Amino acid sequence: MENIKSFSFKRILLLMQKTLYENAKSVSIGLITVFGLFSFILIMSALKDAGAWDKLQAFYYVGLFIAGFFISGMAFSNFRNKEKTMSWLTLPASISEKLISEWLLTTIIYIIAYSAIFYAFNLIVFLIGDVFNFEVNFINIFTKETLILFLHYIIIQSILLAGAATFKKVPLFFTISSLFIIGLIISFYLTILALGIKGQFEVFQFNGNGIQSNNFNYDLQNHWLIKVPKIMYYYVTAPVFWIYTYFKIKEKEA
Amino acid sequence: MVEINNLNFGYKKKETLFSELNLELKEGRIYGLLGKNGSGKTTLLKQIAGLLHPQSGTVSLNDEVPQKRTPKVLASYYMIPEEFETPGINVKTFLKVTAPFYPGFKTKEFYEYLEEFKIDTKQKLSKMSYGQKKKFLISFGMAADTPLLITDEPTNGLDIPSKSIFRKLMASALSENKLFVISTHQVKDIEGIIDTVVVLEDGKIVFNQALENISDKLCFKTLKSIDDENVLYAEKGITGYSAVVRNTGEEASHINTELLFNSIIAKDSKVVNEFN
Repeated sequence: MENIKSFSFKRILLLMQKTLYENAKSVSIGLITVFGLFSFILIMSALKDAGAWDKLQAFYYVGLFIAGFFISGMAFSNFRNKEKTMSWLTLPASISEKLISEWLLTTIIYIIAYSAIFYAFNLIVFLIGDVFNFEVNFINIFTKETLILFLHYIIIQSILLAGAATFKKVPLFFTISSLFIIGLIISFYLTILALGIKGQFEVFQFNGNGIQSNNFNYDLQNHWLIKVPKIMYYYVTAPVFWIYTYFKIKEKEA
Repeated sequence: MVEINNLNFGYKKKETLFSELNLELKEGRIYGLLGKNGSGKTTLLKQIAGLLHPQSGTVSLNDEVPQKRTPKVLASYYMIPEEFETPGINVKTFLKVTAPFYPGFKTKEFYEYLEEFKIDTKQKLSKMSYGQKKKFLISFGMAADTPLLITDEPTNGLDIPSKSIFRKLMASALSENKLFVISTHQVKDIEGIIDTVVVLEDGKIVFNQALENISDKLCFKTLKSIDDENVLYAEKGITGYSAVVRNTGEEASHINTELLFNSIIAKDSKVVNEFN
C-alpha cells in the first residue's frame, strides 16, 4: 500500500477506459445519432438549397457545440444514481484524477472523436458528390477561427461540467436553465451599461469581435466595462468552474 | 485498523444518529456488525468507507482519513454494499477495467471464487440475478485483497449453498493483516465465521466482544425451567427454554448468535450488564 502515488497519469487513462467501456452503449448511440443527424439535416437542407453542401463548416461548428453539450451533460453519469455514486467514489483514484478523466473525455477526446466522425461524414458526402457530379469541399478545422471556437467550447463546457457534478437529475436542462438566467442578468447589465454610457437605451449586437452597436460613438471594445468581463470570460470562467467541480466531487456523499 | 473517535453524525442537523460514538476494529479478525433494521449499520459502514462526512469526530483507516478519498486509502478497502448497480459489461471486461485500481488484485483467486459460486464469466453483469451479482461482487471484493473488506448484508439474496460457500471463503481468506467487517441483521448467516460481535442499537455500540470473552462469561443452554438466578435471558421453545446463562464453571458451549443478539437488544439487557 505504501507505493501508491497520490497522482498518476496511468490511473487517469484507466478511469477513461473504464468510463468508455461501461458507457459503450450510450457512446455508440450518441455517435450514431450525431452521424444520423448530420445526414438528415444536410439532406433536408440540400433539398431546399443545392448549395448546402458547401456549408459543411457551419454544420461542423453547430454540431460541435450541440453534441458537446449533450456529452458534457452525461459527464459524472454515476452521480445520477446513489449506488453508482458509491462505487465511483470508492474507486481508488484521487478526486483530481477523476475530474481530469471526465474533462478529457468531454473536451479533448470528444473534439477529436467528433472531428473524426465529421471528416468521415465529409468523405462520404464527397464520394457521393463524385458519383452525382456536385462539388463538395473538405472542411478545414486547422484554422485560427476554429481554434478560437474550441476555446469557447472549453470555456462554456466547464460550466456544463460543473452542472453535471451539481445537479442529480437532468443536469443539462438545469445547467442551461441556469445559463439562461445568467444570460438575462448579463443582458440587464448591458442595458444598464448603455444607459450609463449614453444616457439612453441602445441595441447591442454580438458578433465575432464582441459587442457592437450600430449608432454608437464610443469605442465600446476598449471600455473597461466590456474589457473586464471579456478578460473574466477568457481567463477566469473555466478555472473557476473546474475548481468548483473539484470541490463538488470532494464533498459528494452517497 | 479502523478507529472511530467521538463520532457525531446525523442525516439532518437536528437529528442525531451517532453521538460520541467510539469503535476500534483490529486486523486479523472478522467482525460481525449486528443490529436491527434502521439501527445505523449501513451509515456506520459508510462512515468507515468515507462515503459520509462526520459532523464532528474522526474516522481513520490505518491512520488515514477515508473522507479524504486518496488513492492510497481507497485502495486499502473494498466495500460490498447491500444495494448496487452493475454495468452492462461481462465479467472479463469488468475485471480488465476495474482490477488495475487494486494493486494486490488476485486474478487467479477471483476466477476460483467465481467457479465456487458457479458464475458464468461470459454473462453480462447487468443480466445477472441479484444473487449472482452479489456473488460476483463478493468474489471481486475478496480477490481485491485489500486490508479491509466491508460487506453490508452480504448474504441477502444468496441461496443456502451460496451462504455456506460465502462463509467458507471468508474464513479462508482471513489473514493476520486483514480485517473483515460483515454487517447483517440475519445473524444466523454469519454464525461460525465471525470472531467478534459488535451490536449497534439506535446509533450506539451496545456490545463489542470477542467470542473468547463471550464463551468465558456465557453459556448457551436449553433448560426445562428458568428459575436459576444465573439465567440472564431466555426464549421459550417447544422443548423448553433456550437460555443464555452466566458461565460459572468454565463450561464450553456453542455460541448461539441469534440468541445472543436477542439477549443484547432486550430491554435492560442483563447480558450487556454482565460485560460492563
